[in-house]
Amino acid sequence: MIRICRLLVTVLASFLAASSAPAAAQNASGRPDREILVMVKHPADHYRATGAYGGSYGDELGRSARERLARQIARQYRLTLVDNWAMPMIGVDCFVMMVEDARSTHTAADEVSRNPNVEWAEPVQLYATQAAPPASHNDPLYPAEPAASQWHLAALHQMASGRGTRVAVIDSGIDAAHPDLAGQVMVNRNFVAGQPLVAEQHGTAVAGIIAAKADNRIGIAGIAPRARLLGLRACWQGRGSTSCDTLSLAKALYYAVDSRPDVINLSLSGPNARLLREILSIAYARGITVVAAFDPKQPGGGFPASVAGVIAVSDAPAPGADREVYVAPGRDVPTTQPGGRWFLVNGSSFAAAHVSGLIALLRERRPSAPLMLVSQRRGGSIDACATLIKVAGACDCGCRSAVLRAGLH
Amino acid sequence: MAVPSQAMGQVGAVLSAYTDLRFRGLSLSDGRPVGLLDLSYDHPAGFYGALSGSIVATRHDGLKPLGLTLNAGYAHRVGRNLSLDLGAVHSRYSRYSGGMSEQSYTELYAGLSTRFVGTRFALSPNYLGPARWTLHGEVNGHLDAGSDVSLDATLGALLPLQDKGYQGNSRATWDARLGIAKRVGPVSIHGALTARGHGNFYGAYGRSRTALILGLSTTL
Repeated sequence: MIRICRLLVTVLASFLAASSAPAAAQNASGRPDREILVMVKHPADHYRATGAYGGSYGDELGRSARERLARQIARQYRLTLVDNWAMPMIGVDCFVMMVEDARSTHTAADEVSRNPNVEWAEPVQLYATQAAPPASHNDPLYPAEPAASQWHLAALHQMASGRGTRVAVIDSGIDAAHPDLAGQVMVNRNFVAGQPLVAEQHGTAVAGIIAAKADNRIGIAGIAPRARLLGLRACWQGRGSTSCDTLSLAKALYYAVDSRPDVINLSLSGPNARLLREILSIAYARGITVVAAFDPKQPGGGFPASVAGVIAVSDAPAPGADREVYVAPGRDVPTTQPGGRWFLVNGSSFAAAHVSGLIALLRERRPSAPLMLVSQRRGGSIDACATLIKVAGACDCGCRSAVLRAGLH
Repeated sequence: MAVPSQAMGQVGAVLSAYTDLRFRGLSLSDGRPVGLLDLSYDHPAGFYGALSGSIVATRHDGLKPLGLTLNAGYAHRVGRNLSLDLGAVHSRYSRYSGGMSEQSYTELYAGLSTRFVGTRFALSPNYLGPARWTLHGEVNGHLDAGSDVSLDATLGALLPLQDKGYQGNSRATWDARLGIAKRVGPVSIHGALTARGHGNFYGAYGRSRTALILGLSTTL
């Protein structure tokens, strides 16, 4: 036994000497444009006959091994390890590494990807919400909601109001204390490193369109006023724009998929990223509907709208698009603003929010049936009444006559 | 830049200290504090091995070697979140473990685990000393509760497979554990409540049947 003890002390000393950096993550660098994401694979889960309880399936040793490997990779490729995030659902730990020298992040990611210990690596990329600047006059009038006339919103609410459904809003911060949103936001979490959770315009506006309370004598009525929101802040508001990066989006998307909401709303677009695509594939496999804003200036409408299975939504027809793009109200939409106010918004971000709300209505009536949105052949405008009637059956409401007039039912 | 041509194994190490060393609700350190060094190796093909060594702060003799555990096995992912696990464990404990003399046992096990729940059956020909066969079955749960907090729980049952049990006892007995861990920077803080059922199955290992264990660990 004494010989064994000596051996263990020797091994311990060599490990301590090799552990030059702390195992725990440091803070994010604050420079996402110089960061890459390096995925290190999880081995299959197994028992470990270690620790003080006679063994377990806990993964402290596995985490230690992956952190050790990440430190080796960072040293080998002249990178600085700044953060990590375990993602067992997709079988990897995601390590954030900063490129300190003159290499581009794409070059560094390509180099690291060739290492057989790395599942894959990719640069942190930036995404932008799809909102036009708010109008200078933003009178908050409920009858001014485009959905009230174009979608016959009050008639839709006679058939469904989103009761029992959950919509994950991956966006900038939501003002959960807004009088039109109070009680609607069941989770409000921040995934932006180094910043506190704050209420911001874009996230609050999207949340209001989806689930603002109805019949409370103030503000607007959301498309699904009895749905509940998971507010997942992955984007931050800057001067005149709202941005997100791959890691913050991955963290929020991972949380969302793990929470199994009915709908995930992504009112944003940007470049393709394998990490996000992997998590989206899990969402698809779990039957979670993902709605994304379509950006006509980007190939395929931008990511994630370009991903198969994601519902791409625009505020205007997209005639040249190589995939189905739905059109929903997105112009001059009154909605909630931080600080208990309301304002007018424009853009595909808000068209996507309309569709997320509509899907919450559909899911209330048919929680697991395949979704089919009814749209006009020309232009792709969604007929919300026809869509909901197909699921809910005929109704004695304004929707019936609207559908008959359109000849869609 | 030298790039390895094939994936290396993953080597992990954890150093920890606990107020007691409990195995299936049974104290193997005579209720005394222990220090452990755990080393692990995971080969990309699914083979794995581990070595765990422990020392105990004895009441009268200072720090003494307590035990050594060797573990080897093979894990295979049979679905996105389901793994099959086969392996063997051999452990030896010194006389400072609270038994009358040095003890050892060997187990062969098979388990199935998902991300949150696992189950495992272990067959031993010499469970903690006596030459008799036992079967232990357990269900494990693990939950990441956010904010670097994780919870775990285990419920197990030990079944003697031969009538001539230790001190004539052939009854099955149960064990359970509820644990919580919180990461604070490089250190994890652990707390666990362990318990085991009635019976003198364990003979000389006569410490209390329930215990609260506290500990600290760090990855190396």
